[in-house]
Amino acid sequence: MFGPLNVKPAESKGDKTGSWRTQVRPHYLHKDCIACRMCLLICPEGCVHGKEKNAFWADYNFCKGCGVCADICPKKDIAMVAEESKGEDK
Amino acid sequence: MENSPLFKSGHTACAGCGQAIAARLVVEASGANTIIANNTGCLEVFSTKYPETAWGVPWIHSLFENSAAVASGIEAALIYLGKKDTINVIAQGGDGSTADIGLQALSGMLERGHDILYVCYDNEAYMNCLSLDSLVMTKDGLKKITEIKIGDGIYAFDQNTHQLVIKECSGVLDNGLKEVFELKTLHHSIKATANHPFLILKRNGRGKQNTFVWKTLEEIKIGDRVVTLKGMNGDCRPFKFQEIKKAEKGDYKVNNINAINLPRESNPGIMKYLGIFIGDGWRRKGRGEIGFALPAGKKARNILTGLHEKIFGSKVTSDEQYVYANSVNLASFIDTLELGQGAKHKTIPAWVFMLPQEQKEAFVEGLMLADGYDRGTSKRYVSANLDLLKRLRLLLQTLDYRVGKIHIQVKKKGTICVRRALLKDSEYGYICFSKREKWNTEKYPSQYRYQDFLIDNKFFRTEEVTSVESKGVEPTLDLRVEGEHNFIADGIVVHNTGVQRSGLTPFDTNTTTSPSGARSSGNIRPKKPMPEICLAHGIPYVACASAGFPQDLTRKVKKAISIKGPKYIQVHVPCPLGWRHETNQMLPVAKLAVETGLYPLFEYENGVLTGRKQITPKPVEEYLKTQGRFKHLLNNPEEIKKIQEIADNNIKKYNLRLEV
Amino acid sequence: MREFIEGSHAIAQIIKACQPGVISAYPITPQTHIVEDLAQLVANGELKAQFVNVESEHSAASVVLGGSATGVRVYTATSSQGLFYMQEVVFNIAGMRLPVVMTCANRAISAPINIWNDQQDSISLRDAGWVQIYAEDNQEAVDFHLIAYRLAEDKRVMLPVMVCMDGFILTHGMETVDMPEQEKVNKFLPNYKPLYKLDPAEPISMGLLADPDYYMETRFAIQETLKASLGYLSEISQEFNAVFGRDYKDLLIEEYQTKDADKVIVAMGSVCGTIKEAVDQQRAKGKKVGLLRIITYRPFPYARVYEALKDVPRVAVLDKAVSLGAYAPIAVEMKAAFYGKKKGPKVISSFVGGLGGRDITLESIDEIFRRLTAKEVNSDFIDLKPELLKEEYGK
Repeated sequence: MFGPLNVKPAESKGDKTGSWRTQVRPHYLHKDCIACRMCLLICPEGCVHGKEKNAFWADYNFCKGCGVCADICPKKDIAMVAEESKGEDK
Repeated sequence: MENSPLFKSGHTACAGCGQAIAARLVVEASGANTIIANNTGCLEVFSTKYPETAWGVPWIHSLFENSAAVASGIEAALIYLGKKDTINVIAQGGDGSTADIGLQALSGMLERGHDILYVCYDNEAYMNCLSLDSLVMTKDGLKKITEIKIGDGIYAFDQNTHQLVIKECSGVLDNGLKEVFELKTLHHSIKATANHPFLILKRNGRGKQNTFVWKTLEEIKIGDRVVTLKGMNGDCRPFKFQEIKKAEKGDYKVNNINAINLPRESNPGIMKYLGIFIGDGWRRKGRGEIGFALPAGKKARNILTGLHEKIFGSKVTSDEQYVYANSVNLASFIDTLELGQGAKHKTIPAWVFMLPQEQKEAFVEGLMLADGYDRGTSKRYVSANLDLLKRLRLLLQTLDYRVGKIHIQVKKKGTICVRRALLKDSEYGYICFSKREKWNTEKYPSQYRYQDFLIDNKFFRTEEVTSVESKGVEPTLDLRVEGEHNFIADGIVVHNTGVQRSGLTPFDTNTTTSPSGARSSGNIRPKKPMPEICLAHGIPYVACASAGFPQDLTRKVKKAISIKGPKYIQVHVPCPLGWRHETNQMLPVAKLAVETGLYPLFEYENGVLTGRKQITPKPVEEYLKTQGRFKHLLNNPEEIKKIQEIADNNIKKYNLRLEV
Repeated sequence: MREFIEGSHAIAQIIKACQPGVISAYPITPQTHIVEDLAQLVANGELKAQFVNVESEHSAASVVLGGSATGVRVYTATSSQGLFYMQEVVFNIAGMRLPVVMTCANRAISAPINIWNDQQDSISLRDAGWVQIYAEDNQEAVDFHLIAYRLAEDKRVMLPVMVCMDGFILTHGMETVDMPEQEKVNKFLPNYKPLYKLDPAEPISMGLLADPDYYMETRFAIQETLKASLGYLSEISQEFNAVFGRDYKDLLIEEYQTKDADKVIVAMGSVCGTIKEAVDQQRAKGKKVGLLRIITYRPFPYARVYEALKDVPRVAVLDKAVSLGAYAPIAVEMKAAFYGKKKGPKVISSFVGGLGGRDITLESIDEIFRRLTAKEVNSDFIDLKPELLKEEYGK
């Protein structure tokens, strides 16, 4: 039956909202990380992953480049870098 | 908390959306054994656009105002099924659907004592849109905003290069009935809601490069310069006519063929011909009749006759009043051009807008031959068809003409018009236009550049805003455009989004429906005291939280779900778009609201104040100056004083001051 | 078991037998007795259901929406303004394909406020995507609720059903009703097994935003399902007959003395009792008249109506509702049923009567037969008081 438009979460892949980034993206420096997990907690997309110190990363498929993780990081271990500068990120 | 699947990536909230953060924290804190009922609103739209869903828990949306009631039904069903003890039920919505239209259902839910947590995501307004009669410039020419579909190529202003670019339309949003205002410049006008952003020239002072900023309609002052479209030359090409199946003698009902040649693509001659047709022509396709009301002696008659022979290789017949170019094939050909039928419904089709300059000018010449006249150096075109006038005005603007507004006049009943007395009063309009003189930019470069920052730009210019006035309530639409997030509507560059006052909009906030102006400094009422209203229902838990304090929010949600009965949490969630701050400023803005005392974070358990976030209060200006929605207040110490009083009262009431 | 019972009590009893898990309603005359009784049954512990006392009809409908989405059989009842207030949710329930069953105690619409019977309320919601079944007497009203749940919860259907019964005339009328026994109800109506539900064990999202790429198909699906429901209804009624020993043909229409008739009245609801009596009287005088009763108004049984009346020369449609400024609602359907067809009545005249509780008497029916001449009339009001119409405001 078509009509109820019910969707199982497992079947939804979501939009690849990473394409929305126009200027900057977060670059996880992996220097002073203390694994406080604030970046993971605050990300509006829920696209930050990681458990151990200096091992957190943002999924650029979804990251919209809002910069809130860089703002909340107590150790300033996340830098917002220009979208063009490829190569050094994960 | 691992990136658990309860609220997944891939939703379409704006970057830096406070509501997305809070919603994720709430569901994560509540856990997988949760059922959520959601009101209509940003959160619902950005998290569940079929066939995608961001929700890893069972989730339901029904209407704008009934999540509290739907959740009541869910809770009742869970009790019936004997499952209530293991499943949390959350009802949630924005501030409008909680404090305004949904207040009744919420009150019912609280009063009946359901074991439900209600979460209000308070972004302090309804978010926004253009009037339905706006005409949008697309890859295929000019289209009504109602005709735009997802995937259409839409012309947009590239904010880095200042060039005309084509971007894909990724969303058409119906925004319902809204009050709309008309913004006018000397040569353009557009209807939009007050919170609709336009691109405005920002002068950065002597010796500095000028830049562009987005300003909402309500922020625009008379004299500001908006970016408008002046030409399309770059991408223009002749229009390839659709091939028609030519009728032949002997076909059904065809006894007599008036053989003609049909052109393959548009050229100046045929465009002039069609211009005359729009003014004075008619067609009856079934009969193969094409006629022109051109009395003998009118200048256009000879020109038309000549054009007809040249283009179609055929002769016209004529009498005292009319010229006939009867031909079955010509009628079918004209039928494919989408010129419309009848004097009131003829129109300038979309493809004309994409023609090369000379063809467009020939078309205008044809129109003028039929229904125009010269008045000094300016030309005047008259028609009773207002849509035609509106489209002609935009066409002339793409030719870089100076075009006046559409003047409307009424011919009284009985006036003789085309040899007949009018049976009733009849409305007609006219527009005046003239060719723009080229400025001598070589001689006076800086002066002209000061007047028109985009003077060397082929596609855009800036024009001074001459008036903004209310036009009443109309249905509105908005488009989402990938990449540039702007499009060209009615010849003006506009941003693809929009904020209306709700019951939780703070005092003096500038929103669409509570605009600031000479006699108002925005919303005249303070926020509706929702936490107090909920408390008055005698419920066991009421709290205020903020997206700026994620751990505090998580803790409050966990505490709430551990308590049986109705609970209310109101979360302050910054909206970068509506509040007008940078996306990465979400945290500072949210925190300042708390630290100034304007958004006190407190907890009531069983009616007793049991928790509060203490602060060393900062002056409210620090908060106000972070956001565009309060910008009008910054030079207004009296109003700031009133807002400071609100903060001071909060600080006193909830004993927020941190004692040193 | 045969009982002499008030309509509303009978409905409450049959709902009890259907064992819904969530009941929610807001009181409105003439629906009140139904929900009062249900509240009492829940209070007595005779009915194990959650009875949610809401603050409005809008919330009543929203509560049953939430309950149904959680996978539980639900029930609500309303009338008139209450139905209008829940209209937003009524459309929503159908769009979300939830098998809600509702009783509409038909009542006139304000202004002027009037608590008496006509069918304007439910007829005005005909486009909502609900099945609408109209009862002639309380026996039918009782039986139709069982059929309503069967149809709504049928996996091929999954659409809400509204059982419409004339306010006061049926809801407050005492009649002898054969109340279905619980075992038979259990046999005919097994426990509800939802096709989809809100359950943390298998999470789903319901009620998503559909953009222009998807919206039309959702409407088309409901349209097709409703059309197919005409067949399911006759199927289910045969099963019903087998269990309860009744004699429903297909629950779409009832033909009463139409076979050789020259004149037939088409009507819906309790007024058909009066019309049957008038028909009997006229038949006794040798006049060939008949009645065609519409039972299922949505989906509308065009084909059955065509077959039943294709050889009848004159048809009068009696509407107890009016589409102000247009042809009356049932009359429109009747004309549509014969348009462009080879056979059909020469005359389809339309009459409006019984608005706001005005009695439709045997004389009214005779009057309709008299006015059903070769000259077709449209939305001709019967039983008007001409003396009232002479009064001019402000004089």
